[in-house]
Amino acid sequence: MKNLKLKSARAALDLSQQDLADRVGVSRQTINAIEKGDYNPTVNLCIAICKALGKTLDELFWDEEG
Amino acid sequence: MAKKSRMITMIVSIAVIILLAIATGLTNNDQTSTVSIPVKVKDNRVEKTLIDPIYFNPAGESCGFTIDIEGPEDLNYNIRINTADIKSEAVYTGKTGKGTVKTGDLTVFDKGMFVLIDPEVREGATMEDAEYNIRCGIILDSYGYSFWSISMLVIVTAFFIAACVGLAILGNKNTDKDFDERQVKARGTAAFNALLIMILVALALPTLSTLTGRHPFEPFEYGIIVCLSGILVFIIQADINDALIGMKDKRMPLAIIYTIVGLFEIIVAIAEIVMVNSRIQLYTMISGIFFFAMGIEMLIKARIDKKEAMADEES
Repeated sequence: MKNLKLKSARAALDLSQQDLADRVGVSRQTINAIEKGDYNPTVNLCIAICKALGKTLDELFWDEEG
Repeated sequence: MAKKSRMITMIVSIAVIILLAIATGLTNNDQTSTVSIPVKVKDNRVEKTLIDPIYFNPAGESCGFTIDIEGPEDLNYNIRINTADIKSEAVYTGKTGKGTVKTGDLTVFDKGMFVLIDPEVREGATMEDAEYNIRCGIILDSYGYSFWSISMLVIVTAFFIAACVGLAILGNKNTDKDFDERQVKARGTAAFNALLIMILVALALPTLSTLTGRHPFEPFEYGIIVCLSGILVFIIQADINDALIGMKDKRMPLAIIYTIVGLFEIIVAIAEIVMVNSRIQLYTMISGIFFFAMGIEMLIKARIDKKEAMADEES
């Protein structure tokens, strides 16, 4: 399932996938895979992304429908 | 989990080695061939035509031929057996009439053998002008521990272990933070699949050789094919998942180098076949095809990746 919250949070800060990847310390493809729902990140990576975007885990990764 | 995986890998490796030993270490290797030689007699002489030698590929230290010839009484048959090396001395020469002849033990050490049967009119005999079909049944019985088999087993196993260790190291390398967690996972999956492919190829090639009685490749070529199969699967699968070259994405230069090397090797192999008229340069050709395939895959992936990044920038 696509992670649109992550994509919109990134867009709100005017960051490209590469910019976010550089901040978090992963590859651009990994950010792309998370946004497309092709990869489930570990909690450590989720926390790193949240810190980079100034959001909480709930705001980015909590799936209310699921 | 790691202990369990290691245990499974060990068991599979041991099973592969045992199966390889069984498949390649078989000793008795009989081959039978029946050929028909057309002979034209004119003016009491056999008209010389080009007679194709019959090829055999014995596996073992020694071999012996039993040749059964059915033809006219008044013909004699010169039998000459050479090893595949064209400059070699004949390992057996003899003259026989119609009937069965045994060559006895010939020491060959796994070399291919050519049997040439050349008919001539027996001295003192008178034959009318006619055409005959001489039927020759040839049985090759080779035996002894095969140098070919043993060396192949050792080399394939050595390549196999070396490749496994190499892939395992590559798959788990994350100490310098070259790869992120998704890439490490993807490399692990790619390494495991490469291992499976190597096991399959390592099992299939010698088993097929044993079943068909043909050994078209040198031992080191088998090793190279097994090794390259694993590397190719690992590289392509890892690259498809963006996990081959780490986060510092330098795919394009590597892709160009691979493609150029591959093309160069293929051209060299073809040139050798055409210009020198030699047998197919298997190692060069296979290695070229593998490099070329990897290069093309990486070029395609690089293009897709670039498009994806540009689309993200624009959105």
